[in-house]
Amino acid sequence: MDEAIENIADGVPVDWSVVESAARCEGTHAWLKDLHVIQDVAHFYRLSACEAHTSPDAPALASLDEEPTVEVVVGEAHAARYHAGLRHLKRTDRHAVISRLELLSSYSDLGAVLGYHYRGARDAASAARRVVTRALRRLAIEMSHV
Amino acid sequence: MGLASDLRQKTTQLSVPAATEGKVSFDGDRDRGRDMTPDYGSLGSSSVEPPLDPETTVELLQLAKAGDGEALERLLERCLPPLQRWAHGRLPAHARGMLETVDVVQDAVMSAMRHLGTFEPRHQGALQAYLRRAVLNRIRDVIRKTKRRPHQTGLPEDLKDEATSPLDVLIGEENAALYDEALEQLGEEEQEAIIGRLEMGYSYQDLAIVLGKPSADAARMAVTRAVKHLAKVMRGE
Repeated sequence: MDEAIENIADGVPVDWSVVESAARCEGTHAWLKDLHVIQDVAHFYRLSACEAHTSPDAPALASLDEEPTVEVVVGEAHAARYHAGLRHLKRTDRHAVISRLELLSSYSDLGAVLGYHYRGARDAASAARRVVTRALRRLAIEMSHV
Repeated sequence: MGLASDLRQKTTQLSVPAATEGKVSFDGDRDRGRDMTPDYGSLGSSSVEPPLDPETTVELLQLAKAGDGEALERLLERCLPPLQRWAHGRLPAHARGMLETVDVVQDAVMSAMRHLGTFEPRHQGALQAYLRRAVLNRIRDVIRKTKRRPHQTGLPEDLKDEATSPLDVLIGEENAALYDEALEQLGEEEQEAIIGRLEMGYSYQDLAIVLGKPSADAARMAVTRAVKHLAKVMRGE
């Protein structure tokens, strides 16, 4: 399960059949659907960043309404659950999720912002990765309670 | 009805549900058992929070200053929930026992709003920054006052450090101070971008309005750049 969560955080494809069987064993099936939503949210932000990077000359959208937002792409109800879950997280976890999933921050940068910089770059990045994995798990659990 | 006399009524109306229903519950078991996370359900931050109206804060502010009660109400509806979220993480547990975050924010906003006549916003996020500063000053006052008072008896056994705020508990007092110091070294817009998304929970659409950006994606990029800069500052680069 943790490996799947790490993959979501890193934009790596997830083998959901393996995750689902692991979830049944762990008794964590209840929030698995929310992990899917989180993956969709992460995918949206990765794609947005990618498009912004590859097409800087794209014509400006006429209005905010025309812009594909996370609500439009993953669905309003799912996006609302994601945002509500975020609000229920501890501050550190919220920072970790937003920085990694939405802003695509490197683990090195995230480690510094979370205050692990004194450990050195490599250890700070490892610590940040663990925080993100833990935070995403908590987010999925919070979302399942919304 | 004048602006100052209208404020008490408006802020009271807006905070009544918080005090009676889900409320911002900073007391007792819920806090200890659940990372002191407030229930924002009645603060306009429920699972489906309406986006900011494109009507600008500056326009609302001008109307409110001219005595438009509805504009004032919309302004408060817009400003109070994110301020509550932001303030909750910065008020130490012992201070919350005396004065709930809702009251702290309400007092600070009311006080700040009385001086709106002389406040001239230079950009969309100026009012939010102005109010946040007012709330921070109020929080500091509360902390100073509570430190002068004798400690209450009957504190929960699991309360290890009563001078520690939830923020301090979460990332450590030292790291919280470093984070705040680093944040203050950033430019005004970068501070607004980070605080807006990470602390106050604005969507990127809302943040675009607050920061005066043309799109949600532009707002997200502004936050990305700001966080990168923050990381550099925190690493001492």
